[in-house]
Amino acid sequence: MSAEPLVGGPHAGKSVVITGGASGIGRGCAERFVRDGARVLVIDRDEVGLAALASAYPGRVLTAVADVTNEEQIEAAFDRAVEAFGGIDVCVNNAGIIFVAPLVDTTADEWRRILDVNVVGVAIASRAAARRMIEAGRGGVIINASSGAGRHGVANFSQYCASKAAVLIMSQSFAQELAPHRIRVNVYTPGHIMTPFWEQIVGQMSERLGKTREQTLEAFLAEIPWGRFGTPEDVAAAVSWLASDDAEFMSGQALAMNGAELPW
Amino acid sequence: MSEPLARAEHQRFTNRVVLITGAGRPGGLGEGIALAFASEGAHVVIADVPGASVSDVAEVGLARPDDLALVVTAVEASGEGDVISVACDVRDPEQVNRMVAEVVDRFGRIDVLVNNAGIGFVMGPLVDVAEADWDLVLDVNLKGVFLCTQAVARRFIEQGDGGRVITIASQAAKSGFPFAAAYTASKHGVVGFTRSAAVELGQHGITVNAVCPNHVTTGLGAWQNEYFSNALGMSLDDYLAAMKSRIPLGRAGLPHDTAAACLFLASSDSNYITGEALNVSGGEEYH
Repeated sequence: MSAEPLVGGPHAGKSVVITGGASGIGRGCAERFVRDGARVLVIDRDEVGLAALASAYPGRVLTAVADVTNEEQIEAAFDRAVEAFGGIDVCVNNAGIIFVAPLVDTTADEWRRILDVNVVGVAIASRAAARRMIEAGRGGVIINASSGAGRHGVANFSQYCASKAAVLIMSQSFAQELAPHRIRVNVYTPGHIMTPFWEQIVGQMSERLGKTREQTLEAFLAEIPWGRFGTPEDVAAAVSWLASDDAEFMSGQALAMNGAELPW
Repeated sequence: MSEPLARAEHQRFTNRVVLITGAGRPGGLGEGIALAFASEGAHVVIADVPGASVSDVAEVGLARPDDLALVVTAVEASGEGDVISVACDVRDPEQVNRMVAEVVDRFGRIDVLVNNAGIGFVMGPLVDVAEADWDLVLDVNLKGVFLCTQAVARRFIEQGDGGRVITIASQAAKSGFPFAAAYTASKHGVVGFTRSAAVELGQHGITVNAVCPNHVTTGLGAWQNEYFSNALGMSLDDYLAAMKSRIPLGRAGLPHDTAAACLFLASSDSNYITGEALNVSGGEEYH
């Protein structure tokens, strides 16, 4: 992907904050918004990944090392975006964690950890964005990461599914609350997207089922009518559209990108 | 109504051929979709039911022949692409096949089908619905979508490089509405059809999606407001105020809102999205 922003692109002059943007879908979104003309501040815990991203897009991407569960760090990162860009137009809450965890083996600490990052973390960053958007008085767009696994249960992923279902419904509440301030809130629900996050799952699943990586991938692929795994670019394109004025009448919605994988 | 759009800065659909059914009514949703595709460079085929010149149905949303010419003129003026109109009753497989043949004859191919033709003015309490009315609504809204999608999908498979099918469903594809049992059943059916078609046609690189608008400010929309406020024993003003209060974004939908969603679903930005039924309803509908 070219680092050159599209002149007069759909997000020219806008400022965007993305959490969990050092790799995978979040990084895909950051690159897409840069290409669409926006200035982007990327938040992540991964210092090395952030440095790589910043050096790939000099002058277009700012970075902040922060943990979404840490209110002080997140508030400071959003302050930095306002200071640097003069405001925040779009916030993409992509940061999240996942692990394979059969119910009978799970611990309460694991449950608390995944809900803390995937649900409370999204709420902390949504709140930070919404407060600043309301203060600026020119509306805005918040886009949160749910998942296909937030629309239906998946064996061995009950904690992750619970967290992503929570994001979906919580975002509908946000959408209703923030509509009077012209802030739209939507979620994206990706299927199987090729990212480091996904490689981690494939590794854990293979180990648990005693299969090779290739066997595990083949089994997943057989479930996707479109015949391929998704890419961060597939998700980023839809996120960019949700953030654009073309989606001005859409709020409280969940948009899937999953190659027609069942069930919905 | 039938005002041309300015040419868009980015021409995403240059040389693409877009077939839109039920698009012959000035100010209608189909016209809004046609204008938007034209403004981004597409060749547009405006299809509508032939001979719908009966004056008492014109007000509820059927196109009259002179209406069609107005739409074609406005769509032509919106872009660089060519615009033609084709007469087609989507209930009749022969007419549907002839429509597809005409498009291929003229442009050599089809890239996008927008199933917009629908009937939204046959309403009534369930206990009074005549069987013929039920059949009429299901025939236009569901069988018509099936016939058009089937005919165009065959062509897409022959072309061998994918294709896009977008069907205009409705909020009534997700929730129930009084006095609209047939309409609601037909639109729920459209979403089920969309999901099956997406799963089947994915192997050919064809995406199949639906868009679900809530109330839209068209001629048909105005008629529906009148009908439902009467049926519910409310004044039109009270009815509209209640409707607005249910929509978090605080306004009724515009043809442009739905058109923008159709262009996204026809663009490369939605390459991995298929089998979806996208709500464009200002937050009124969720699931």
